[in-house]
Amino acid sequence: MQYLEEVKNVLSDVLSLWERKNSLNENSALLGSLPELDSMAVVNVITALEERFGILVDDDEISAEAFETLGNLTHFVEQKLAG
Amino acid sequence: MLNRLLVAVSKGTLRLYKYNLMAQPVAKTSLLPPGRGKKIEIRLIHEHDEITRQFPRPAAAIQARFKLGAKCLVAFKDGQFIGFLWLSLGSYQEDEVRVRYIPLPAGRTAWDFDVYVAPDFRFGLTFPRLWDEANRLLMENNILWSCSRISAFNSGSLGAHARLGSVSLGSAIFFYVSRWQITLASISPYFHLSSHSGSFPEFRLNTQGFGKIPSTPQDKSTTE
Repeated sequence: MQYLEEVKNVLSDVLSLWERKNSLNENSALLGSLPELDSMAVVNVITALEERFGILVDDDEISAEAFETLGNLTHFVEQKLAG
Repeated sequence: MLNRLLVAVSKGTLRLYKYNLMAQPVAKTSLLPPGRGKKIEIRLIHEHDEITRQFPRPAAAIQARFKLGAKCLVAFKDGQFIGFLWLSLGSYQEDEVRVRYIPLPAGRTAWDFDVYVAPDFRFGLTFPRLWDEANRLLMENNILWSCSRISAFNSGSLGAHARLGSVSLGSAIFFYVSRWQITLASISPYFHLSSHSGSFPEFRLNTQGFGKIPSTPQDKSTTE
């Protein structure tokens, strides 16, 4: 996944994961596994991804599925970039 | 989970609840970036509103809340019920354990309780939208802080409230042995023994003298 590392960096910066970032991979569970990732943090992550990648995320696109794993989130971003 | 285990093992004669008592400042700015959450409608309802029939709560409990003067904000998406948030602008008589919470100073501090978001809409924008409207309502009533109790075992809710700038006021454990309730708390009255519903401790939760109310998201982070 081309943008996996960049998405991981955005996630880590927003959630202040620090060295825990290093253990995240494509299959790492996010929602329910990262205590920092609650409904308030999801909004912050979406905003940061929009700013980092120049994408626009509609409210209806914010779903639990997109945040299920790091791979899912990256795939979501890559789909947005592909237009 | 501990409470469920106790209930199961004791066939209902033993129950345990542990609550963190919190206060959060009423935010003066939106919790959401501009333009976000506009598809979610928030409405203040009255006790006879039909939507209460869809609440995942006993009807008697809903009616009791309204009779005590509580206010209910309900979230809708495309006309569908997706969540609610309850507020009391005065004291609150708990309906899960025997206790009365008295937010102070009166008229400047409220009580929020039972924030519910339908499962399919969790981790979306419903929670911050509910709180945006709650904060607006509280500001209209000159309220500066809102207190609440959160289960000490609910790390998700504790985390979410921390992001709202909540501060700890103390904690309380309610232990039930059959009809007896034993209360142990880190704040006055510290200990209380109750054998019936008319006997309960009162916790005065005073936010007087708490720090500056955050007016920007950057300020908010300093109170977490």
